[in-house]
Amino acid sequence: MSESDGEQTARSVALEQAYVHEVYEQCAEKTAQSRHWPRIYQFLEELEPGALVCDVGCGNGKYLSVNQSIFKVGADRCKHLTDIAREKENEVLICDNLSLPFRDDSFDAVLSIAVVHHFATTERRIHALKELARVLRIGGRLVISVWAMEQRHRKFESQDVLIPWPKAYCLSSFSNGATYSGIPYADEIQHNQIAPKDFLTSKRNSRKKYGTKSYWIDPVLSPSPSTSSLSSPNETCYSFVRRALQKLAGGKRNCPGSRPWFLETWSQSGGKVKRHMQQEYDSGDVDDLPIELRRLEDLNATLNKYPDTLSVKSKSLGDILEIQRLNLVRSRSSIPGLCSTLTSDSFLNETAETPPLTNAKPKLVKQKSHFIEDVCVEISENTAIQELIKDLPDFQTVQRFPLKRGNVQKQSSLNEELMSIDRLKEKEKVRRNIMKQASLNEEIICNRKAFEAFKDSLYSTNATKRFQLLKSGLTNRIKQSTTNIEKVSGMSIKNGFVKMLQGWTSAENEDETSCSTMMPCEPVSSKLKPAEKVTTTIKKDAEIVERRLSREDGSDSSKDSSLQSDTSVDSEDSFASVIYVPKHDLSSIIDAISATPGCQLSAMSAPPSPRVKHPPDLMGPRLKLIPISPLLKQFPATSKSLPPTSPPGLSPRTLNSIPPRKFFSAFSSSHQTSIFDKLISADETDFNSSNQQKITDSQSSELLDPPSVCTDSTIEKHSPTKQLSPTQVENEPMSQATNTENVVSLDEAPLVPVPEEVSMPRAKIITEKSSTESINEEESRKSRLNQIKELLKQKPGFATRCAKPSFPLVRRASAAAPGRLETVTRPLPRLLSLELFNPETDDLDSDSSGVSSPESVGSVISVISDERFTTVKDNVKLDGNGQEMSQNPNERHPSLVVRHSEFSHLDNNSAYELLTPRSLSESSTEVSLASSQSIRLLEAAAIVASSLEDAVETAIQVKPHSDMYSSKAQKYTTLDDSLKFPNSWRSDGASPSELQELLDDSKPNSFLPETKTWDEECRQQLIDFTEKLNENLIHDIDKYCQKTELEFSQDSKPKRIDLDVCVANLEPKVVNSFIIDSYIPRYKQLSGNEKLATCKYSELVDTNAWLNKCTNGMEISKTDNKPSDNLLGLECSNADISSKSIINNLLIERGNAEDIMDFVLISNNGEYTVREKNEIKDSCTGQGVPEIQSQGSATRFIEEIEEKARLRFGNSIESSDIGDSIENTTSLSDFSQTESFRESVAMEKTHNGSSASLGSCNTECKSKNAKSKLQSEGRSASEEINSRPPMVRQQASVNSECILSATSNGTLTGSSSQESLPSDHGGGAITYHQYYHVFREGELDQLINKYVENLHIISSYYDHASWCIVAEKVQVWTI
Amino acid sequence: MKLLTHNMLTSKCLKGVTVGYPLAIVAKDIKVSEVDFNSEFIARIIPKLDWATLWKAAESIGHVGELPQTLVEDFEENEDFLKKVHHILLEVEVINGDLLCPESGRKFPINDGIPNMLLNEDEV
Repeated sequence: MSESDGEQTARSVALEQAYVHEVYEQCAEKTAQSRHWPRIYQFLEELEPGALVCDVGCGNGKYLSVNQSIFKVGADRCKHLTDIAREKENEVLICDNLSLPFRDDSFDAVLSIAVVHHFATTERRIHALKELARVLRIGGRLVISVWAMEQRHRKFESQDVLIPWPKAYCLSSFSNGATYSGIPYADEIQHNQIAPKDFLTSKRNSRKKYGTKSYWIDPVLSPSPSTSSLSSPNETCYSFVRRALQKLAGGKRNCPGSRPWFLETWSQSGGKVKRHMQQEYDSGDVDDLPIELRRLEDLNATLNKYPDTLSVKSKSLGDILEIQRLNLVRSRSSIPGLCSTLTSDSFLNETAETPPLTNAKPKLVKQKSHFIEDVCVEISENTAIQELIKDLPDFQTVQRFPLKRGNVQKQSSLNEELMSIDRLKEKEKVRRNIMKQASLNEEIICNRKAFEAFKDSLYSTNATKRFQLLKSGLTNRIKQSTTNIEKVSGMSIKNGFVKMLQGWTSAENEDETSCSTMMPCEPVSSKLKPAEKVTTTIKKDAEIVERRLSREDGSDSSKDSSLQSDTSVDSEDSFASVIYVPKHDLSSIIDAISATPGCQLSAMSAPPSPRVKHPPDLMGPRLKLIPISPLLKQFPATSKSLPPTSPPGLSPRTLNSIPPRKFFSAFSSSHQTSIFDKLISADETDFNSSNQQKITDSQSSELLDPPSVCTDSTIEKHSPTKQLSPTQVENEPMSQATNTENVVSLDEAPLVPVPEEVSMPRAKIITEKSSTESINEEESRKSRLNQIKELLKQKPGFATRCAKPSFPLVRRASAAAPGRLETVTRPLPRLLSLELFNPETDDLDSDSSGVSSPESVGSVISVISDERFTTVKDNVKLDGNGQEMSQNPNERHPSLVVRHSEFSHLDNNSAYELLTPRSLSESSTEVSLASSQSIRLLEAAAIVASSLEDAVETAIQVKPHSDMYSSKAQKYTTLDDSLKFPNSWRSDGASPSELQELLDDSKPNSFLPETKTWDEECRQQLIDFTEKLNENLIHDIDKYCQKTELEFSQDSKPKRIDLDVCVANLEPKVVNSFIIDSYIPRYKQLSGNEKLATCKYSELVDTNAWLNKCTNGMEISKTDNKPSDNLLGLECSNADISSKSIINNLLIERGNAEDIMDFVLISNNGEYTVREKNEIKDSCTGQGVPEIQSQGSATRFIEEIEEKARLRFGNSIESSDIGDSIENTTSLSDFSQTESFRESVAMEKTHNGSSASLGSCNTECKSKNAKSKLQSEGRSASEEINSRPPMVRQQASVNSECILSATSNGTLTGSSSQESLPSDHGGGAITYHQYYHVFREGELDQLINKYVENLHIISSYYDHASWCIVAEKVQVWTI
Repeated sequence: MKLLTHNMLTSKCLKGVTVGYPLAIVAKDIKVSEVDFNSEFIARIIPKLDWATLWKAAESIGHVGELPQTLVEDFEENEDFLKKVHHILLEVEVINGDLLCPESGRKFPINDGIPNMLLNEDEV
């Protein structure tokens, strides 16, 4: 159980980090000085003089000023809060409740006010209590207060909730209850009730039942699904956080108004939870109410069946999961198990049927429990025989896929929205199932009888068939890729087993529910999409193994998906390559938004039924899995879906996911159109990714030029050197991943003429690669950082980099690697490499999507990429020469390729760059110009770099961005960088204003001339401008930013140097080309719409802190027409420089991010990001305000800023946030508000996802962040493109459509996390969500009585919506 | 950070550290402020202190003054002694510096008077 424990701990830590620590850091200033709670105050006043008191969780130190005759030491984990408390002349220190740095028996009194409820698991709560007791002297008094679940003004469905901080602050007495004016006061009813006898008895029973599970600290809790879920080995922190986010988002989106706190009669029947779900679903009241992460703990219900009392206790983690489930499918949350049986289609019906379901729930729960038991049994077997386990996972995965697929089909029938909802529901269900399974497993383990029953049930249902299938599948797999399997198995056999088991349970459930024990192949096809029968057939052809993989992926998509993916990792590598396809799909989706809905529906369909959900998730996971870092990211995403089941086997899961992707890709190739439609859906993004590989190219070409596209697709398919085809090239930039995928497919194709067949070989190859990669991945995580560094160093040697990157990048590269090999000779090969990078981006997209809500996020991300592609395509169309475009892309690609090779680490960046070039190419002539410009730009970049190096001050403006990024990257790379970040951010924050001023001053000077030459000689002008701007900036900076500059310069210089080098090599050209292209159109646009252009420019520039500056510049420009032009020019120049530096930074950051992914810098990053966000927000708000006054666009900006801020709140993706904000701003300014909103929404979604991911899993989050960043960049590029469209309204319309699709996808898929955030944004106020484990009456007492033997409870009462206990430390004599 | 706080701090939560007490002080900035003297408070505090640790800490930061190395027997009645203790306990603060774990040498930074005792996950 060590792994599970580790996972659990990691999850808990991640959750607390994301939803407690960071929230406090962000909201520290907002914590109003609430009045003292009378009882606490009295307690302190009654202490005898000279007493030593420690206030653990002192917050802003409101109790540290009470009673001057005692010595009080405040301790808090939040630095901001300790700073605030320190300012009040209090003695404070920073420490963690779990490791108090005090001697034993040193305090006369200890306060723990509103602290213990922030711990995510019972173990941690107990640990915290023990620590409190440790430092307390014998006879000392301990005062503990925790939030009560039973509150007069709110009802919690589950004990683990995420509550919007401000609201919570206001509503709840909370620690600072000041804002909470005493609503609870009236309620101050002292309850000495420790726990109802029934409750105790139930606990006892539970203990007896679960007593065997020694690993569970709390027997009582353990029975509770939630706790089990938390501890569930399979569930990862990421998944946990994601779930929480999803729940939150889902709750808002799905049930926008319906977050009412339903009075849940948790009392005894867990099945009631389902009712709650239904209620939530129906009831849309609580916008005001804090967002509760309620876990409809189906598992609990099931558990309750065994121990009713157990259900009573909150399931902190499980609750969160439940919440997510609830949010997604509130009605289903309770029903998950039932739903699974019912099938995805029933989801909607289920919502309506929820009441009946409640009745049925118990039964369902039982069934689930049986399944779980079966799974557990299987697991146990697996553990016994590792080899068998290895085999088993594969089997399980195989079985799962069919089931899932069937679900998918069902889902597909549902409307898109419904599908989305269904997906969410399915995900929730799957998660629930997983949770339940986990719990069941435990229970089962405890009770062999139950296991037997489960086994019987399983056997009765489909167990035998499944087993057979699994055996066959395992044998096949082993035969096909024994090596891979071994590797994979070695890597994640255990995980895979667990996942397999989970998947089994889920699959079984699904099968049972949907009666879709259909052949794996059939289910897959059905799941994939009814329309995609051909694809399904292809998949079938692909081979059982692939099917298995796809199955696994499908299951993994939600919960099982991760497990399955892990299990299928071996073959998944090939799939991973396929994953790329989604981008194409996205692009296609953009073209055919209508189709996208279908895709979404399919994706949605997946979610509704866990199985179905898995498939969509699988897509994302697969995609994610493909890239090395993506794997991590994917894992998180998968983990979200799979969190409970497969923390250990995340990588395996990801691998599994990849294979499905490959299948999908194969399928997609065959059924591109259908796939496209399906793919369009966010959920389908994964599938799209696979399809994208083949389809993306074709789709992209189709989108651009249907005929050309077809030819391109065919070319790509036929010619291993996919790169050669211009369309391919275009596609590559559009969807590099797709290219890589194509390449892979092509590579595979050579091996196997038939795509389907190819998929098999691919799968094998991939599996091998993946296996190696998977193995490598783990190592690669660490090695990746090194590799990235090396690559960065080696920038000159692309080939070497490519080779290396392939593995490091490998996740993508695994699939891409083959392509690279094939395409090495030609520039196209470069493109392939680029494509590989694209896969990463795709993966990133998928990851990001996965992060927030795997499905939604992925869809959103994919949409974004599609948008980009579409925009590019549109541009091409506009040009009227798709071929030319393709050619241009090719030209660009070479450079890009080089860049890519250089930035193999920065693949994403390169992809973005490529995208940007494409966007530039949109202005047909611009492409050529870009090429020439790129050279010039390189020169300019070199100049800039030199200038930057020479004058840090000058660099400050540009550097701030680059510095920021570089600093971020560095920070990421080195955890130690944390300090730097704040500084850089701070400096950035300070610099923006200065920069703005400087820009205002300098812009006029440089811009006037610049604007003239821009059209043709934009490059030179840009260079000049940049120089001028630099000079101006330098002067301004010197004047304005002295302190900040110093800091920045110091921090940024080294970074800059690195960045400069990189930039000089790659970025200059790309960036320049991008910038130039963008600028040119922008300038043109500016002529028409100066403001818009400025906005665009600002947006581009803003990718960093520039947004603010740009906004300022915009404002200025708005106010003054001439100044605006100048500002624009300046901004452009700045943007160029900054963009270059930024790009470099981004690339570095990306690489770093990936590296960081390996490391666990998330926390640091998150904090930093939070700070940065705050700063950015502040700056944005400040800028936005003037803008608002000046123009309506300002309001838009503000909104964007808010959204950004919110996004930022969500988590710590600084770059992504920035990019989003920039993008948003650009889109807003350029396009109609709706578009901007859409983009912003998408951005938000992605951000949310990223944030969620960050919160959940550090590494994963990091990777996700990196991905998100990349995506954001790509988005920004797309946005830029969009902005350009204003010039070409058609493009804009296309973009807008894309955006719309993206938004729709995002809304549908990402409704969970992102939606919630957007909704918050709508409010205009940033809302942080804070994790609470609300205590039931007597729960805390029980914890103390059972686990902290040296504490004797003196009194227990209810006060300020909290359960309060005064306990005395006693001497315990042990005989 | 007052020396009274330091007197209670340990690094025993560090992995592999059994006692972790007392923590060595590497003071960079020390602030001496004036705090109201409360003889009863000090007299009640003294028994709860590890006097040797306090003395060493005071010595390490150069504020040991006339403080005796061993606790005075009749400190409760010794107003002068209590004032000295009051001074060293409450009026001398380490604003910036480091706390060093005596066993592992792990540094705990003190910034703006706030010791950061957070541990990394791998240190617990």
